[in-house]
Amino acid sequence: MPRPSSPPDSSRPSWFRLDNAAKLYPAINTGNRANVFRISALLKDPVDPVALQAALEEILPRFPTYAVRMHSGLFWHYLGHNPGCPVVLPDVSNPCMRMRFHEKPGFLFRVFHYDRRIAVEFFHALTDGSGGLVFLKTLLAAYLSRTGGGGREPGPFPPGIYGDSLLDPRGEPDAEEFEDAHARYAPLHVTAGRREPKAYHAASTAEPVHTLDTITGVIQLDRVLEVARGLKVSLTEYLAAVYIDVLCRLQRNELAQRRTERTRRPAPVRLQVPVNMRRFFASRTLRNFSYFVNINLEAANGDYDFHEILHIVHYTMRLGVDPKSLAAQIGQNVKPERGLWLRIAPLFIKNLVISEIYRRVGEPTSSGTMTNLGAVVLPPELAPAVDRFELALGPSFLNRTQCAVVSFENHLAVAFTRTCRETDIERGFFTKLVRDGIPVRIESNR
Amino acid sequence: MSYCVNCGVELHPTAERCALCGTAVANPGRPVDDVSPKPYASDVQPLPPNNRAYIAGLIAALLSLPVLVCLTTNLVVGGDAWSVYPIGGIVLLWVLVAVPLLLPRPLPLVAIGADAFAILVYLFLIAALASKGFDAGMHWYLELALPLVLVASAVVLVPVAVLRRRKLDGLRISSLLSTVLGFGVVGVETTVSIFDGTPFRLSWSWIVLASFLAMALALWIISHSPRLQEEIRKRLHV
Ligand SMILES: [Zn+2]
Repeated sequence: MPRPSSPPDSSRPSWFRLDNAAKLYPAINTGNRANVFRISALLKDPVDPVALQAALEEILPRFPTYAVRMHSGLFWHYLGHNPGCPVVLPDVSNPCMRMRFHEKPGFLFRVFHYDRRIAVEFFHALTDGSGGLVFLKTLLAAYLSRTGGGGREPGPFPPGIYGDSLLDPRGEPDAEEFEDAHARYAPLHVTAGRREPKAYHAASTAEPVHTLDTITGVIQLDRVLEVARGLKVSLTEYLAAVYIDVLCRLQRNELAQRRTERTRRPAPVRLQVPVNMRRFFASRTLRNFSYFVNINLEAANGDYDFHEILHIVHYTMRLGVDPKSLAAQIGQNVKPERGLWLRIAPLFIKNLVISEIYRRVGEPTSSGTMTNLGAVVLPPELAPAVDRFELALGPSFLNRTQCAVVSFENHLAVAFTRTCRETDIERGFFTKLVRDGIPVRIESNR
Repeated sequence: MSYCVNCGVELHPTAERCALCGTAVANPGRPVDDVSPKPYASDVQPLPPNNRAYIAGLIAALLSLPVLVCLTTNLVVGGDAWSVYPIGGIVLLWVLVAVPLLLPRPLPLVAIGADAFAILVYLFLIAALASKGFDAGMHWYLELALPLVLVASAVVLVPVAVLRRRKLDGLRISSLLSTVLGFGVVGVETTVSIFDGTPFRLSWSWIVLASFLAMALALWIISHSPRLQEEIRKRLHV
């Protein structure tokens, strides 16, 4: 595979290779591992579906990598242009359901509306959270230019509001937006060795497939930041420590019920925290470009208290975001797809191999995921019309509860999505915040 | 605004109970708001149709190509009905692969039953077309092929059926498997001796059965006694 030193220069390709991270997702696309995420914006006024549909049709040509459907080649899946535009749907109580490639119209993203909410759902093979956010912000601008809102009359926005994170729908797509940034930044020879033991998975009772229960905690950002700063850690570090603390407690309770001493050995508690690689490697790509920092707590060493956990989380996060070791991780992930043997294996064999590897050594190594999309910033022309943002992760199999965080102005939304009955993780998490003096408001789809 | 008395979190005005712990909202000063919209949509997205049937159909379409080639060649070139063998084999392959896909949920017993049935039908075709004549073929089929396939499917079906009913630990699974295998071996010798036409007498399979049963019994006893397990671990640890 050629290693472009700068983004490839072709204006509007008719098909796209899957990027390095995306290659995993079609192989493991099942009802309980959907790999779909959702970003929603809550406006101040109820949503007008007709204007939303028009806005979607206006902006979609600006995002050629999203106006696609999944095709199977002989050796790899690829994304082929999909004419037309998805229909904006009334929202559902079971979000982030699996994308089915063979069903018409075959788009790999969906747009929903409900009351004041506009939600977009993406199949992870298209993009990651940052790419999805650019799309949603661009959609919001096109929608609000039609309806007005936040004390503003309908009408076009000044061109000054557009930029890299809010695209001008009249602009031309740029080759850097389509690039597989992994290929550009993967060092040729450096790879990070990774062999991680299995992690703890909270025991839970599965709900039927096609269920996704959401519990969102809406929190005042300044109150959490005050607590986190008091502990001399960042917001993500504080929330991750609370999550890990809850998982450790759950594991202790589960193990206490085991019969023999031999089966009471604790497994490591490991939290995956996705990191946006665009922070470290300049790229305007609208496709996948994020990696994980794994925060590992050897629960077998003994019972860690909250401050000890916080300490470990803080230094793991600081150490984990070293650009050189991140680049080595990219190298590790890009290496197999440069190898001849995997590349020339027929697609169905590849699917089997990839899903088996994922099932054996990918999925079992983490106890949960907590992703923080960070603070969403909107230009002052748009911001008054928007109340807050929410991020949600789709169903996952081994760890049935996942957590996604995003903030806008002073609203922090911490959304737990689960495919099980138990709410112990959510309850432990939010009651810990309340005990730390942070007021939490709970919203749920159940 | 209402708070959960159990968790201390503020609840949405439309919530009837706390999403975290299930405690009902009890606020005499502020009854549950059942007019305002709920925070999330409540319509369930209907289940999309099963696409496993599509895959089963795709496999059928792929396999129909060699079937057609064999059939045409056989008809054009002529000769015996040799194309029955490859076509039967292809149909058998389809049953093995596609039937589990067509079942609405995992039903291993039905799938194994279908596999056994397909194998029996295929062997019947082979027997019926045997070069030594229909009667010789039927003798082979009824007295050797049919019983052996039935014994083999029973050996697979019984443990699967038991394990679907009850969750067993490794020792008990091994015990169950050795019991079933022991009786399976007896079944094989019985069939072979009847097919030979010699007077029915079991010779070697008794020994196999006895050792399998002894092992099964030992495993079963060990599985019930943590003290014995500990003893074995003590003496045999590596
Ligand atoms: Zn509660």
